[in-house]
Amino acid sequence: MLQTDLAATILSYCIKTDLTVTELTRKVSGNHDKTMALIKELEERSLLIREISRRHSVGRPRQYLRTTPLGRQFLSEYNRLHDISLRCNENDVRKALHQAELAQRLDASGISPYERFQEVNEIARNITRTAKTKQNPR
Amino acid sequence: MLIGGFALPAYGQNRTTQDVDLAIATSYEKAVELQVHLHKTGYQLGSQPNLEAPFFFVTDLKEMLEVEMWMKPDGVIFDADLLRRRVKVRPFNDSFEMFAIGPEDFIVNKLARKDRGVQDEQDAISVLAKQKGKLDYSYLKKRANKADVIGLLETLMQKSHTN
Repeated sequence: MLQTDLAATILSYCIKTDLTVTELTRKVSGNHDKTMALIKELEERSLLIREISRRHSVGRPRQYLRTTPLGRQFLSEYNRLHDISLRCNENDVRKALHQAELAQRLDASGISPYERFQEVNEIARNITRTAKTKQNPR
Repeated sequence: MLIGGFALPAYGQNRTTQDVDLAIATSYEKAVELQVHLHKTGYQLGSQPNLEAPFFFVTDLKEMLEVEMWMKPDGVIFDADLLRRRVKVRPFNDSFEMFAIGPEDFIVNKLARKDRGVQDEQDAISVLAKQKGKLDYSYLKKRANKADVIGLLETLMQKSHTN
């Protein structure tokens, strides 16, 4: 996980729920020291602050981590950028280009794309219909 | 008007698809009427009518084919520009002609999907590649901008060398 992804995970946890440092490090899977170092850095950059809660009448007041308005801004920008990242990898792009090339060859041969589309779908349906799947022995 | 996998052969790759996606420019009331009519004629309704829902789906029980009816397809604006760019296709046989969404709007629709996956991006790439030089690029970018997917479109074009 990238440092930015981990920072975004921490900030999103601290928006929704009251978490102590211990609870947060437990929630965020991965290297404990790395998480602690990142929490410290987020605090130094004023993206995260500690708040003391006196809601629990018994015992010492608890310290919760809270995402600051600046932290929320960071998170919203992170989410926006995450949304526009491609789902396709290099291989997927190559495959799509190859498929487009095949479709072009089909056109050049005078074969109707919808005729082929129907055939391909018919074949796929027939395979599904006639496939002999293993029976559950029970 | 056809959108999704059934529109794709008109300008992109050929692939199999499980369902038919249709865009219908209609009011909520008319959409409910349509659902009632389809139900009466033997289609199974997938969900109760909902004003907020962007689509509803019905299943043709005889053919076991699911049809998604999109009242608010992602990134698609029903206007004169969109209608002008529709293409006529004959998806089932020569006697039956219908409209499919234009290639530029198809790309924007695919990229604007909330649940966009690898297949959607591959579909968009295949149209960009097959129609390279033939698309109305200023319209495509204008629509992508409106749908807030311009950054995504430009990255995809760059990566697939279709710009």
